[in-house]
Amino acid sequence: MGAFKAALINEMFKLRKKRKLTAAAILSILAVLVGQVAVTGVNLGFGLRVTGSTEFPLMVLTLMAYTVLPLLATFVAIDMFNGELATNTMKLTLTRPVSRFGIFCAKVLNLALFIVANLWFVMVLSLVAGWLFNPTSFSMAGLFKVFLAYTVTFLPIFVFALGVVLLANVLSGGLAVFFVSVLLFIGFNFISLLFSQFSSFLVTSMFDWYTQWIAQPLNGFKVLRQTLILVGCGLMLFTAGYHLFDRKDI
Amino acid sequence: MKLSKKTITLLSFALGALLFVSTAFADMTLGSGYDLFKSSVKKTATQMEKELDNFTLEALASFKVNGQTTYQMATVAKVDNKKQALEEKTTNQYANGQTDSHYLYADQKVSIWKNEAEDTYYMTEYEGQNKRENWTPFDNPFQTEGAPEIEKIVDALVGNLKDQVQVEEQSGGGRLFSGSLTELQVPALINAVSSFAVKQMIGDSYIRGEYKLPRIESDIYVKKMTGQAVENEAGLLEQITGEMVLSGKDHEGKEHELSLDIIIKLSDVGSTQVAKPDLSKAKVEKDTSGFGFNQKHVGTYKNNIVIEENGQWIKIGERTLEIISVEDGKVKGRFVETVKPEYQDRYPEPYNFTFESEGDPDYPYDFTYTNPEGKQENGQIHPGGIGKIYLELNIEKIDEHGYRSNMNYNIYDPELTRVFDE
Repeated sequence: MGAFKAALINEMFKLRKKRKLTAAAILSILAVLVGQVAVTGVNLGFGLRVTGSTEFPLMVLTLMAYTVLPLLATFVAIDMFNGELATNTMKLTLTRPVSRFGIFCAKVLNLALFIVANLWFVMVLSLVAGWLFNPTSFSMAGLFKVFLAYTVTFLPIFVFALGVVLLANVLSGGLAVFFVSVLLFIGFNFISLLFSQFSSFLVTSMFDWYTQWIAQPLNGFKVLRQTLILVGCGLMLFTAGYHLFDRKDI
Repeated sequence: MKLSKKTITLLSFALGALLFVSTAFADMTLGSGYDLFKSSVKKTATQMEKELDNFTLEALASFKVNGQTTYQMATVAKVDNKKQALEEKTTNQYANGQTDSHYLYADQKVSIWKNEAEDTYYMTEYEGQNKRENWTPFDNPFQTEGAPEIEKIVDALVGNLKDQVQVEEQSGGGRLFSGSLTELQVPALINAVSSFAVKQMIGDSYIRGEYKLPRIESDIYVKKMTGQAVENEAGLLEQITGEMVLSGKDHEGKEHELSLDIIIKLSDVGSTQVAKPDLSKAKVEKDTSGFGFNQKHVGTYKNNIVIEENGQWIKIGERTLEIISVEDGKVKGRFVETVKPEYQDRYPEPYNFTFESEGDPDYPYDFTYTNPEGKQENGQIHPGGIGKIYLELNIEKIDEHGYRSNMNYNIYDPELTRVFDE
């Protein structure tokens, strides 16, 4: 366990030293700001309240869940695998007294932590922005729902990132992985729009599954089904990713 | 037993795949409450168009401002698919307490209309040339042109809200659908569009007076949307109710709540009686407007040929249309333009032709004529307001019922007024 912890801290340190984290923070702040400017503009110009202070974070989440969040997760995942192979630092990582499974787990866990951190960062930002600009419509129940929505959005994005990890272990070029991931993402969204009956099979159509969680009343059975789909898909991708990582010649 | 690494990997992958495929498949086949509701609506609409012999459809819409009803509309429509007849009564109630109501009876041969405040029945007969054999008392809205495209767009907009429609199976058969969206869940697009529509409506001071609306200026948003529907054992939707609540602030910053309730009920399937009103003792006024021609149109119609010169309007001549006869739906007539000799160079060669036209009463009557240059051209003739007839010349057909006139309307005026001998 101690070795695993060390590997995780090691991975976290590597991520912190990269410029990706700054980029993530800047992109997130920008997205929140642009959203708030648009919402305020519409209210001043047309008198329409597109969102109140607690809906604003949810609107931002819908936008981010389909753009910035999966994009950043993809970048980080590619960097962890292809990036290290390209700079030949993977060897250094693997010579540590941790099993390959331990290292793979450390990397995936680190990816998960990054996604959670990014989600919560955006949540806090958008809550502050929403509260500053629309202080009247603030409520505790709303706050809880926002927290729930942001937290559950972690799962579909994480599963998507696991897909990217699998790709990163299939293809060697980081750029190739990036393009294939983007194509898959666009393709999945396209399919779920045109053939909505197949959307149960597509992870991307669950990026906004938080709507199920904050529904009144909660459709528990549907939420359970979607959770199982995501867990199943995630397990499959994780195992396949690990298998390839384990057998890789470095 | 110690499992090898390979076995564990394989097992874990298989477990994941099994979980994923089986639940996703189940999810797909189960469908959403929205899909079930949609198929139920479609089934009901199809049955209402063809399979049900007769039924009563009631609709009630009420609009409330801060909890007070300011407008209410109630319609009861009785439809008989066997007799192909429809009876409908609509009542409107306004904020100032005023009410008005209308009665309508229609079948393939006649439609009778009455304002409840008057005793006169207005009647339009569809006989002879005016027959309407394809008329049906109820048209399935899903069979109209463009409906499948609209359905696709709605499906895409509804998106992940599909599962917000809850379904409850009733013990005696049938289902209960319900759904509700709080302000957190109303999609930003739906919110923006409906708020904007309401804002536009409130901006109109006439509408504001009619419905006693406060002058809402900012922070308009959809607060809540709820809906219920009841499906009976036969799979027909018996009742649909819906509510939408909007909120907004007036110029003083006071918050107001606007709500719209709609109830639609289907009842008396198989036991609805549609009866033509007894007009034997009632005051009846026959209406013969529309595109059809009859004896009253026979006569002479004129208008002036006018030009502008040195800031003055000058009459330089006259157009005369003579409807010679209307027989068996055929219209015979003559059209002459006369221009004063001193202005002949200011106006194109005048028309002078006779024509014979036959047509469908739902559309303008077509005819062909010879223009002053000796060429064949197409024209159209149709009744205008009381005592007026429209004569369109030099018409080009675009498609079955699309036309374009190549006349220069700066000098040609198609509206001709009846001249009476006194």
